[in-house]
Amino acid sequence: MKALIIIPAYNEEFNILNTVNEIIKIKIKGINLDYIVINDGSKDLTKQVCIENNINFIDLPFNLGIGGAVQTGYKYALNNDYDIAIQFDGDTQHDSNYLELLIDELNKGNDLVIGSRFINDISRFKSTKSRRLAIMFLSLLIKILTGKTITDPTSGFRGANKNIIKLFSEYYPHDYPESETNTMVAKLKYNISEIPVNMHERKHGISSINSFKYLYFGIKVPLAILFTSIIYGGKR
Amino acid sequence: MISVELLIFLIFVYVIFSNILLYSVFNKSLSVRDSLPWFFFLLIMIIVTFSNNLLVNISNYLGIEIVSNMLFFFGFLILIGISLFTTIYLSKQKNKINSLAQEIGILKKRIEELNVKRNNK
Repeated sequence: MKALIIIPAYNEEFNILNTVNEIIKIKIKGINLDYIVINDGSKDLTKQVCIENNINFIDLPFNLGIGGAVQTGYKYALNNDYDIAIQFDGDTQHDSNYLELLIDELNKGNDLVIGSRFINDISRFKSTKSRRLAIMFLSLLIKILTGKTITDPTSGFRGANKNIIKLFSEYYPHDYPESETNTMVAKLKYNISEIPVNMHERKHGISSINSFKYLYFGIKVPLAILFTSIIYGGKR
Repeated sequence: MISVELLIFLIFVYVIFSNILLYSVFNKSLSVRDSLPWFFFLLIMIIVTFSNNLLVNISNYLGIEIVSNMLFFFGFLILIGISLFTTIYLSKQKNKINSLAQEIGILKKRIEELNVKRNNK
């Protein structure tokens, strides 16, 4: 079985090598584990770091945003016939020790598996209070609209099987894509599961969400969830 | 009836406007399809200019007291409409450009892989 780890990277010159080194240490029985870094038009030395360290990467001609970068990974997974694709942030926030658990959960017949910070209190890092409140609100909205409980709808640590790889290759939002795509998958009646994971704080750089973007986030994401739920309501 | 001076000025404006349109179409910087709404707009402006009391009659019919108010209202509506369609068009183009950029990235990767394979032979 072939699995691909998709690592989107925008200005991650100080983090990307650590992330890749963490991943290549992981060996899972019966799984041929590959990774691909998507350099999303970084303005720093991310590309040079990738070349010098022989990192397997796709170099996008300009910045597409997180959605465009991750979707490139899904398209690459589809083209190369991977059975599983896993999103894994290039900023050292995600913990590679949970990859095996994620793949196990996919192999139990789930189409999409989300790594959640909010199950079993495993994760020490749970983001800021305001962001946690926003996540709780989104979680409630998804529950009301789809009937599905997703405790960490904005988690970027997710595993997908072939069905979802194909789905995400065809459509993937440009920004803050996770909540919207989780809603889409739930509405299309695919199986979604969550596993408890540990997440770390970023070692270098700043998170992609800053205070100026909160307002946009607060308006765009709930609206996107609502629209997605209407669009995919009667399908499949 | 409008004054001769205004008529000459308007004709001058229409000639320049139509020249810009035609030049852009012949130059292929504006497609015939995208130029159609603007030619339609020009046609309406010419009809309005040369028809006696057309605007007054329309504004009377719609119950708008002052003709200039009606013009502002419809002008505003048309501009909002054009702006909305431009946004839709831009959004579609953005999606296409994103897909192209993704394909370019994936193809560059494929070319590098093939080059490595060829050099190793």
